[in-house]
Amino acid sequence: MKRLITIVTGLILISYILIAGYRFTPPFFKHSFAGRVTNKVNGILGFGILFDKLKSLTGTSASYRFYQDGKWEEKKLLLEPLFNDYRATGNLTSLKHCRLDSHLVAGIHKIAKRNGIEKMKQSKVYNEFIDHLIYSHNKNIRPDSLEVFYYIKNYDADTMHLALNFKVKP
Amino acid sequence: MDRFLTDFQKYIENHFFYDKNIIWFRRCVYSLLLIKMLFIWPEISMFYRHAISVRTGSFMPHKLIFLPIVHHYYKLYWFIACLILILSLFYKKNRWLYIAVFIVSINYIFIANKATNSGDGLLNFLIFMLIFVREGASKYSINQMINNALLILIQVYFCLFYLSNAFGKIIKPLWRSGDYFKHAWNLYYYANPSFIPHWFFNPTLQFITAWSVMIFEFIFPVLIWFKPYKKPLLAIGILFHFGIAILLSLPDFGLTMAIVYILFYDFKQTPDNDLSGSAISDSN
Repeated sequence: MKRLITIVTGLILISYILIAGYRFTPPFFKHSFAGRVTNKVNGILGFGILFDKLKSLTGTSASYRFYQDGKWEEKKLLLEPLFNDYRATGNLTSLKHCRLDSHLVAGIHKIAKRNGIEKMKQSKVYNEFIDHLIYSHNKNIRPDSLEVFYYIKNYDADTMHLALNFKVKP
Repeated sequence: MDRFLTDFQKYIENHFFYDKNIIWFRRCVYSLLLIKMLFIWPEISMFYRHAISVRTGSFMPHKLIFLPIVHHYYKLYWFIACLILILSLFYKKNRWLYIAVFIVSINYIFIANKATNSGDGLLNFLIFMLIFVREGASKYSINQMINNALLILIQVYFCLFYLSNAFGKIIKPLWRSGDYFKHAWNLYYYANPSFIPHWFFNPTLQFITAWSVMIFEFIFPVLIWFKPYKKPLLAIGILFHFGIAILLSLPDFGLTMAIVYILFYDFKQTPDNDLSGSAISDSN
């Protein structure tokens, strides 16, 4: 029995090394079946490199406004109030909420950039985002119309440029 | 091959962990999950609503929470889940309770879907491993060897995590030049300007900080196994992870990593937690 435990431990250790080294494997391995399985396990185990990609260092900002009661309401920031609440009070829920919103809005921007706004509007991520925006940021009241703005920071010029903007009647 | 396996087996058997390490490690891991679950409570409706739009329920234990019948009772489910966690802090050696905690942990990951980070994945992995770890294993027993094997696997996992991060960083020019911090300190929703001192924006200090991080991540997995280096490395590591938790707004990730340090710490030997007599000597 002890020998069996030793062998299983050894095998797990070897697989650890393979999983941990996944990011440094050549592209052909990453595209293979073994590579995809390793990537999946890598994600489940939480192996990852923090902020090693330029993309993860991109500063973004999002805002929205609703058209209801016959007028456009003032534009509101989506992420800053949540993050500022976390900063001020240490409320982890606000931080998690901020991460969720940030993930959703970045998701629709990715699809819009790749496939255009029309395709984005047909996607599941888009439906999730709009549904979440109405539920969490408008007390689940469906507005007549809404507009979303997504900005990306240009570090060199220290400016923000509008990367995505759309209006929709939900 | 047989000789190698014998040596490896001896290493596992002799690399014992005190009960105090196991008990505190378990308490801290479960407490962190409980804290995260309590924090999420005020917004549970929002997270649950979002989670059921991407998940479907089944009679598998970890997906019970998404069954349509539970849609009206998810707050009660969350309350019971928190109670399970509180119970697990006090009841020892109850494997069913440990399994229930793991199911709760998966529920948490599903509920906080898309708002999770690698800290949640790591915590879930630790909770899974803790199902099989048993406090008070008797000397020379199989249980003690299983404990050792699992806890060594967690330690090695942790060291590999550092090594892969160190390699991942050192191959990036952004890290080698220290410019990473120029971006990171301006990164919205991560960098916490309330705590970042002004002198952290100095390019020379950014360069020094970047290399200090990479050197630490390289030397920790190598030197932590040698007793004279343990305490200084653990002290630096705790500062490092608290720094990540506060400055980069990753409190759950930073705390999870810091909790793993309990396994590396040598608690002062007392008759209660001294298992050294169970170590199998080379002559055996």
